[in-house]
Amino acid sequence: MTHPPGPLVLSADRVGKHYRRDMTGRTGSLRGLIERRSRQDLWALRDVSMDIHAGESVGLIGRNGSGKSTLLRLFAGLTVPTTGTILRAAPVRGLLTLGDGQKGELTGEENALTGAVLAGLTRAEARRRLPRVAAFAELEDVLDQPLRTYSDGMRLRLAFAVSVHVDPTLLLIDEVLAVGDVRFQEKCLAHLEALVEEGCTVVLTSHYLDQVRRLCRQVVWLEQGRVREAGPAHDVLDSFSAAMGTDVGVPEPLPGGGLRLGTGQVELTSIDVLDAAGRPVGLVRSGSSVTVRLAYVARDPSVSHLHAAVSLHDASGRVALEIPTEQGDLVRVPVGRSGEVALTVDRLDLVAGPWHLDVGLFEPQWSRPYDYRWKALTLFVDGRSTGRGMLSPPVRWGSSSGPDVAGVGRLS
Amino acid sequence: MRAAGLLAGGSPQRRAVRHGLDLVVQLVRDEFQVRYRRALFGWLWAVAQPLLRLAVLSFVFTQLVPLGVPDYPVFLFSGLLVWSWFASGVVSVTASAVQRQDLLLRPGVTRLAGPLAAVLTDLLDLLAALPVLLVFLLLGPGIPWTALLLPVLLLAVLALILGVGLLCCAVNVRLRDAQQVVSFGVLLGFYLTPVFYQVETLPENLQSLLALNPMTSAVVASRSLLLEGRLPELGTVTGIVLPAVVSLMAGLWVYDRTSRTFVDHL
Repeated sequence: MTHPPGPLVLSADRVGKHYRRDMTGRTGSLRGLIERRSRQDLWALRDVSMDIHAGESVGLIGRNGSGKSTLLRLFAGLTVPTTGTILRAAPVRGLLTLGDGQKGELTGEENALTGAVLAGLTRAEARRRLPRVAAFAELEDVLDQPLRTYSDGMRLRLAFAVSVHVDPTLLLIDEVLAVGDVRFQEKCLAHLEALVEEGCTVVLTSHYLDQVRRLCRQVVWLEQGRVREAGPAHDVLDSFSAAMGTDVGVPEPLPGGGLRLGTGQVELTSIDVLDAAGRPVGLVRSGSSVTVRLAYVARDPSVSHLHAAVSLHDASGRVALEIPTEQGDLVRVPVGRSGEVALTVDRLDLVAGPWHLDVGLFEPQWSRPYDYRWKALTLFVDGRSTGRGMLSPPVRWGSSSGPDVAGVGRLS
Repeated sequence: MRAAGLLAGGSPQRRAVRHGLDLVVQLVRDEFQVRYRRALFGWLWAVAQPLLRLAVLSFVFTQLVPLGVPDYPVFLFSGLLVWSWFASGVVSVTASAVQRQDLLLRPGVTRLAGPLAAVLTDLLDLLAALPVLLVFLLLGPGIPWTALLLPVLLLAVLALILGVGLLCCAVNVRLRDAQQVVSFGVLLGFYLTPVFYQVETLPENLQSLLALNPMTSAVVASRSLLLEGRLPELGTVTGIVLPAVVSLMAGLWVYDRTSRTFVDHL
């Protein structure tokens, strides 16, 4: 830090947060309480201490379940620590629940007003700020339309615009920069940078290390609920990246809009969809035979076996097909220095349209992915449109007619 | 810091109170809009529902099983008005934390915002039906001056709804069974409260049992104010005010303690 730190804004002193996880999955029912034997204790945070001063921008990084979001919730005052103390010297205006609680029946304007009041403004202040919010969200023309007519992207743009136009002095951001299109994301990042320049204190969690690098001067790396390393952003990010090289790491965006996650011990080198003749295709006819071929190289010679899985889902995430190697003849795939795994679907009876393909190579116990790619590629299925549904198998209607039969009641 | 825990944290207290009020107004407004905007007859539905209940019960107890109560529709209406608010209010306050989890995930938003918005939204239904009752009164026995004291009674009922509702809400976050129990209790309560009958017509021992129900006092008080044109008896006043204050204090205390960790259980 080149300039002296401002007054203390947030501080955690030996903070621990303990959860009781109900393993029966019956949270909030009488039976769940009675069947205590199946409960599991979990320390989401353990002995975490840190001080955040006015004007600082701090990134919290770590794997899923490392306690980042729990810490952010504690800083926001949404819940209390089990042990230790949290000190908060400024009102929080957070982005913790972007878009939650929006009402489709109300107009964009009404939602923006409520959002601003929820974020800490009075009604009068919220109304004065509305034009700026609308302009930032680029939604001036549709502000009087019901929110249900908005796309997901428009809703998030509105929610983000509201959250950053409430004169925050302390902003907590939980993963919300992962939303919206790239251009709007860039606009949000620039706006946050400006806020930090103006002296707003920002604490954020993100899986996108680039964003953390850009916005944060300080970074805290959490691992299994404890602080593993804390300090200047570039130092911590470097050691985090280095450690993750041999570990699962954080999802990286793929060029086509997908995400990639994995230890990298075995790496996918190509993913192809082949037709019945073995030619790579991007478009197949509904009902034809399709093979998904995954080629890999093993970076880690100690890996002897792997599992593979392929799934197909539509744009809204509904899974049509999910097939792990366990569900076939190949139980555990032996790994060479390089190799291929292929799944053949004899009849791909899906309705016409774009289908997204997720593929992954996993550890033999399925505990971690070696290389998992979400939305790795898009497969276009061609065929007659059959109306609603996901499947388009060969079908046939039949009918017959007979003589008038007396005394037959109505079908009711 | 402790006392301000329920209100928005940190900022000067006056602003916090102002903001809390604005917040509740905004939430109630939204909720009312969502309920009635897309309906052709809008808020008229808020009036139609109690009127229908009124018509059915009036028919039953004047034509089928005559109870011999003078001005029965107004008698019924004045009880139904207060009871309906209590019934819907307790149910929605109980469910508020689960229904509006998003409010509990907003930093700086008082955790009382959800329950308050819930009970006040239900109050709007009462306010929509009130003019109709006044018209009924004008056409019948007339409006006594004591009707001006109705807001005081409503304040006591508000305290009772919040008290009972906040206690149930705290339980409901851990055990969703509470929601069911409350709906059930409210259904039963309709018969254990003299909404469509007179307390005086019951046997002695049942009368003393019913006196334990604070809503009995509330309904009786409502009739004194709106119908009979006299101040409720001291026993009636304490019968509602005492439970209201005690339950509100208990409810606030329990809610304040438990709501700090609500988000961990949702």
